[in-house]
Amino acid sequence: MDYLVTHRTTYRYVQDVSHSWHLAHLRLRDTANQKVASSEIAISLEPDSIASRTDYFGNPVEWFAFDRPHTLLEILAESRVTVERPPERPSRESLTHERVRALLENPPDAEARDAVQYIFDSPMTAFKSDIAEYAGESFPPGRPMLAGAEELMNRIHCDFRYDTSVTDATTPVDRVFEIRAGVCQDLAHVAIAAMRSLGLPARYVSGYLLTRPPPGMPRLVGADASHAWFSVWAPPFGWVDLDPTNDVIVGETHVTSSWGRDYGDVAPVAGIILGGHDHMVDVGVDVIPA
Amino acid sequence: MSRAELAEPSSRPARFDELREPNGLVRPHWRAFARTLTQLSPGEYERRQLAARATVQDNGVTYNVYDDRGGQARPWQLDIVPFILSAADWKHVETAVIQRAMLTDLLLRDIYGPQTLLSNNVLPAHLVTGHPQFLRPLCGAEPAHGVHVHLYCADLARGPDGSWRVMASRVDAPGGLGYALENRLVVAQTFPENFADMRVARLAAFFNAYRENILALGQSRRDRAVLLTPGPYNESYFEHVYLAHYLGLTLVQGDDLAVRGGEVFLKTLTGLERVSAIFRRVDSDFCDPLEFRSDSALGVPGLMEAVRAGGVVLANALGGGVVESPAMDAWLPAVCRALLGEELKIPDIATIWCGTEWGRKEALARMKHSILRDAFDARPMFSRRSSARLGADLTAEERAHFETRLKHRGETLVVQEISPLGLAPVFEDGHFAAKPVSLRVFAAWTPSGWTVMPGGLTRVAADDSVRALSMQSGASSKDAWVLSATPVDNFSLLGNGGKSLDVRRQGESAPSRAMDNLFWLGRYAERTENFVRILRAVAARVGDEPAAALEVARKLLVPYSMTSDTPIEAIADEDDLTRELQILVYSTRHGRSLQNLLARVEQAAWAVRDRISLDTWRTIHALAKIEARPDEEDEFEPAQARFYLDSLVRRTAALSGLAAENMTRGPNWLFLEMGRRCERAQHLAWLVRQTVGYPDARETDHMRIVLEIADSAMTYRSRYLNVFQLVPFVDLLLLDENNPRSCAYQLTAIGAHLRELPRITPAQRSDVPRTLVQEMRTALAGASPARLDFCEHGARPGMLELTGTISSGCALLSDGIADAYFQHSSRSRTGAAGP
Repeated sequence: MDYLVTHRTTYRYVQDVSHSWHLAHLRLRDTANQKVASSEIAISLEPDSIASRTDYFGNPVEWFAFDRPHTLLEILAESRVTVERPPERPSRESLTHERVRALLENPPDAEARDAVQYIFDSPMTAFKSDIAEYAGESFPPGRPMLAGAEELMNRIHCDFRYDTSVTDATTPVDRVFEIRAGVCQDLAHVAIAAMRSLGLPARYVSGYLLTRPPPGMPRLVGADASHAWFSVWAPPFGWVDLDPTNDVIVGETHVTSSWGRDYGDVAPVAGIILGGHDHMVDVGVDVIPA
Repeated sequence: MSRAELAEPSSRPARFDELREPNGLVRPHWRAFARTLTQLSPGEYERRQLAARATVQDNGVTYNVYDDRGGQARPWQLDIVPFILSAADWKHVETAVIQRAMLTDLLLRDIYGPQTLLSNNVLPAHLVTGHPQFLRPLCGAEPAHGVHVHLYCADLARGPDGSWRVMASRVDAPGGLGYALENRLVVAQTFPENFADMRVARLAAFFNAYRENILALGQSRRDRAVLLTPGPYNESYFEHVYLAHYLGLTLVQGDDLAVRGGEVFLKTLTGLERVSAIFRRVDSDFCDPLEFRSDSALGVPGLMEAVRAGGVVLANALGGGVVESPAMDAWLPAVCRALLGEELKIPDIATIWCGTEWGRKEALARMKHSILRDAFDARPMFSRRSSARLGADLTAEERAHFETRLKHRGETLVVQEISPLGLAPVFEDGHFAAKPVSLRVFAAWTPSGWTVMPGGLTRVAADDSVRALSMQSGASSKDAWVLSATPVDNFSLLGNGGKSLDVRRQGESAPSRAMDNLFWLGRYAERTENFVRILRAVAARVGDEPAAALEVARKLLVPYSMTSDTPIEAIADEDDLTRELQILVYSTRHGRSLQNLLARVEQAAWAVRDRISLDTWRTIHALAKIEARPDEEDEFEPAQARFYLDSLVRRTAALSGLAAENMTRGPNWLFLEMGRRCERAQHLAWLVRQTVGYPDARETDHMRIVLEIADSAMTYRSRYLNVFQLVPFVDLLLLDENNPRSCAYQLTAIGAHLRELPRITPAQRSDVPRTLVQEMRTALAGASPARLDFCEHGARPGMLELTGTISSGCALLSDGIADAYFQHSSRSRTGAAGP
């Protein structure tokens, strides 16, 4: 499928912002089944400094700063992308979770070595509660990695209520686990924390959903904003993406933007402002077949 | 101290004894010092210990303990007996520390560069990419000239056989240099004879090398070099002040710096000044809230981008925390072989990382006799929040928990040997004892190799337990004397003989945050004096003229009682009043109490400790710590309170005297003065308003008291004898430009100070402060006596209007000065709403 993804972020400040600095993960990356034809960002105000880079995880990132007063900032990202349906990956054919642990202990290649970082707590998935007990139910001895992860996704989907009013971007994963509710970012963090509590590698993926589904298909939750899910390392298939909000294996209706250890690594737009008093942010996302 | 007591052999054979050989003989390098000790009388020894402690306290050497409520500063603990190292011992330590420093720099270069140690399986990826201090944005961003570590620091201790071990390495923002230096200055003064005779190696050349080589990496030596501190609440703030002074650096906090176009600048009164080198004492992950921890208020947004652009030297470079983990200790021997092709000259304490099958098996076998710890926990062992536990202390439940964690997440754990530290002699409570010690040593980078500071910070454990070494748990410290085989170099950075004078940069810079703090220090100091004088006037009358005391209290203590339990207007009798005075004078909890105000003075001074003299600091410190202060629970004694308040009046006077006589007339003094003058003008206007704004029968009595409070009674009497009338009263306190305690005088002074200040740059606001001062002066000059005296409906409208103009004018002036010079703007985070 070919898509046109537009992502508009508008900041309105109550008073002048004298200086500001921003980090944006808005351009899309290629993946095993996604090819980016073009991905550009346009900023309403000419930045005083700007740099485009690729971050540690291989995501495109923009750093930019303003040194003159402003009360409005609009960042528009526009991307054309082709997403293929991922190949069949029968979950029983993935390695057992014990084998995955053993592989990570002595990583045989660069891919395994890279996966090591995803078994450790990261700032937004550090947990104190006994999430390991919850996770353990899906990983009895000898269970194939992907089978366990799929079941975990399904359980989170059933046990947690999708609710946009109970959490914000900084709600700790422990709190989400306690109240059993949150948005896609929270559900992804719970899944990641659960995997890592057993020493299993999981990462955070940020992206988009098709805004209006093809005829006959249900409209997925989270389609009107940027979306998020988690990914597990399940050799021999490599990384497999799972969407606990919609209880589906990620397919050709999900467009990948970036990945990292958690939301903090790939927030679409992060910023520090001087002044401004208070700010309002407005995000509009549109994903249409192209 | 008798020879017999000192000769008592150590009763713990399992520890190394620094002082004595196993046969009981004093080791050769200790003999000269031990002789002095046995020759000094106990009284003399006690005297020197007390003198040393007094110096430490007078100098305000503190180590803040974060977790205590209010971040109370605690005096630095120093034992005057130095830790003595022989030349031969030191040679070994020195080469080993150089090896470590080189190794650490190379290791960081690989971790943030090609990561060949990971791809060649020398080092498990877990130790790097699993470490919370592995800062991904740094990968591929080479620091200036490829130098990662400019200051390396290691904690060494001796095992039972006398061989050294490394307990921990510090490379992110290593601390302790300043304390080591202060210890040296105090102990060298304490034992001047020994220090001269024993050829103790000097430290100054090391500090010079440290500073000069970092400055040389900067783009231009004309640029500014700064020391970046987390601020007055940091546990080591004293050290930052001290080092900045000693090294000739401007002390700054994150807010003082700004990044523009890939370069770092210092915000000063006159605009931005370029910074080429940052001596960093803020942990890496707090340094840029945009790219690292977004909750950090200590950092500089954009700093990482400046590092990428090569626009600034950070010393140390960012990211060093990744090698500080205990887990790394287990792998350093292999890393050393791979990077240097040699063995470690001094090993780490034996460490097993539980991320391997073998490691987990060993951990289970040894846990009972070992220390269990988080793999990446670099906090000093057993300090507050340290994860370290003694395996022997675990309950059955905890052991089960540990075993589960070992199974699922072994890579997050290490097991370390319990290493008994060597013992060194200490003097405490009048006698000698032997206590476990560790030695923190420092190495500085130079283009031609590493140089090690000949000495170090010796830490003395509070007791024999393994938990007792952290400064937070009550440990003490010592100077370390390295004996030299040859005559020592007397080079000193504090003297004026060195070539170093040309790099002193202090004195010319005026960071706006510091000026803001000085302004408020001036205001709080003045407010204290005013409050004390009012309290004294009330307390002085409580016994003899209770009716007058009550009236004065009602008129003048009103603003200070707003949050007290009883409104002062409602105070009916003397008992109520003494209760109220008890709270206002002595309570430390009451928001508007004197003690609270004194604490604010001290806090404001502490924040600009680098800009006020030692004597000024001592005076302020003494204000808040007057010995004569009665306990706040005791019953209120008017005589005692008068005595206490009298001593406060004298000390606040000493403080303003010091500022007047001893501060150079630069921006520091100007802002301190303007704060004081602004506060005083406002206070005088208020005093006059409260006294004569609404006439009453006892008005002349009140005038007399207010003249006393305003320290103008003498002047008044010399002019008008004992006749109290409104017009002369108002003239003296408001209008007379020659009375240093009149409103007009304060405003004239502020006007003059504003003219002295650097011109306001175009980017800043219009010149509000000068306009306001001019308006207030015009109002005072135009005041007519008849209009001020005019009275209707029980009020004097002219008086109320004039004093109101001054009051609100001064409030606006304070804000206007802040707007014009301090560039207040709050920093906040913005983020797109989560998906």
